[in-house]
Amino acid sequence: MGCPDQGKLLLYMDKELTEHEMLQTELHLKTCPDCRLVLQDLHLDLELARNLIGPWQKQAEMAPVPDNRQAWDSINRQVLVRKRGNKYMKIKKWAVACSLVLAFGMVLTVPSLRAAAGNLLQVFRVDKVSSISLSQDEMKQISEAIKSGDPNIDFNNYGKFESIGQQSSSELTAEQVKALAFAVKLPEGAWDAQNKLTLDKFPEMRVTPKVEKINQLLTALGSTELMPASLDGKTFAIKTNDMVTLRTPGYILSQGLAPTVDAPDDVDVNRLVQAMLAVPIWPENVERQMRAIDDWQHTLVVPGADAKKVDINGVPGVLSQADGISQLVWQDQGILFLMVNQPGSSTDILQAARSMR
Amino acid sequence: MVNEGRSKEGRVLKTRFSEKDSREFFENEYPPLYRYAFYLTGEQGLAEDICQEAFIRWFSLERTNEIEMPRAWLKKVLSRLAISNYRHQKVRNAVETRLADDQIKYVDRGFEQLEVEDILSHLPWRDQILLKMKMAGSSYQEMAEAAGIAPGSVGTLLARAYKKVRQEYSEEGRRQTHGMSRPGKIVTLHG
Repeated sequence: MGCPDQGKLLLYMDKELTEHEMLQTELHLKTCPDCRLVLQDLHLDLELARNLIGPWQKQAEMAPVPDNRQAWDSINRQVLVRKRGNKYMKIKKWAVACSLVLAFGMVLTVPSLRAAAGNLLQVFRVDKVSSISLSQDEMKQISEAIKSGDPNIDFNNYGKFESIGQQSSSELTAEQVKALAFAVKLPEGAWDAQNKLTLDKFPEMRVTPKVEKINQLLTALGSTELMPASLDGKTFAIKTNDMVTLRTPGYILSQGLAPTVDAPDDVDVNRLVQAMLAVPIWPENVERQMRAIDDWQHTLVVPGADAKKVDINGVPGVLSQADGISQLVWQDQGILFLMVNQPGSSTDILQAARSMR
Repeated sequence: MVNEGRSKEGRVLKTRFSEKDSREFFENEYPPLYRYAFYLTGEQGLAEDICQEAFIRWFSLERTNEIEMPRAWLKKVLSRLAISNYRHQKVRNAVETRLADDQIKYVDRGFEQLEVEDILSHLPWRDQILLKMKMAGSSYQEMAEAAGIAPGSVGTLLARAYKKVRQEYSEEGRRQTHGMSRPGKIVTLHG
């Protein structure tokens, strides 16, 4: 064995080598006076470092600790913001699930003017937004009520959920913005800044209910109204049109032609609404709000805690809150607008929405 | 602490432990962690910053109860933060040397810190931290993790650091015998 380098000798000194290496190095040291000297030097070096740093270590151990209240505030704020971010994602997912259910609700209504017989599809277009305000408690009540009928509820048991196409996002040039099918509106100031707009495409959602399973659940939940068997295997398509999105540090604003729902024509959707409302899972307050929506097929229902109706320059919208994040939805001349605060931002999105032109 | 924020934060933190437990944990662990950070970096501001970041990472964990020794975990994260801060430190040193004397104030520091910093300032930042970690009883494994290197390389870095310390120590001795002033690196910026 050649002479080990200083690093290895140090490892030997600190007994950090393998047993075999320890033995090897020990044997080498017995025969090599140079290495013995190096090792001796290392011992001296260690001693010196200890003598130098030791007192500083002791001093640091007694160092006055600065006021940590600001640190605690900051930690809380930052952890909270991150957690909020997660929560926001959950809410978004939850909102997607709800939208599905509610979009379902939209098509469950008998259209007052049934399209000409022979139409394969009924196309509903959102032209109103409405809100259902439900508290955390009410959400819990609903989920517990559903669980009483199926403790391990899995949506896949009750229908086939498919998404066709990919979600994508691409930056728009000024020319492309002008060439869009609708005129983009932005809040005051947003036009001047070098803000980039993106075009977001969403997959089409298709829902095919398994009526028998759903009816089993409804029965288990104590509902007397059931879904018509004719709905079995029929597919509903929820089409979200391309949305133009602006992201600023304060908010995210999306706008696009309102989504549509294609529903099979030959089902008695009125019974479906009745079936849905008859399920004894809705807290009274929620049921009352749902019954108050008279035009489900043209209404996008925004569920949310503390949701309230607001006025955006004469157009009704829904402003809801979730843990400090505001979300505003409204529909104006066939264009659906969604505006959400960035986590941690205090931008008044209602005011920003009112300044849009 | 804003009251309104507290209730919300309490709710957010409840998934791991309650608001009260979190605060208690923070109050207990902050002083030793801060002192360790101060020991490693020698700077109050930097020590506070990396301490805060270590706690943020702790509270951001999904399941803290799986960590057997929270204090060791915090120290590990903190050492890593202290080392990864060396770029920032390099920039600071460069700025300091460019500044005119009247913009620099000597800080009231203990003799031990001055002495140690004088000598250690000639070592790369990472080696300074590793040396201090070693003196505080960290294992080679811990040092390797903090520096993101193989445990075998720690020996080489440490041996080099020892040599440099010894060399600087004798030079410092010579400087002092010849009445030379201390080098200007033991300063900090004000304003």
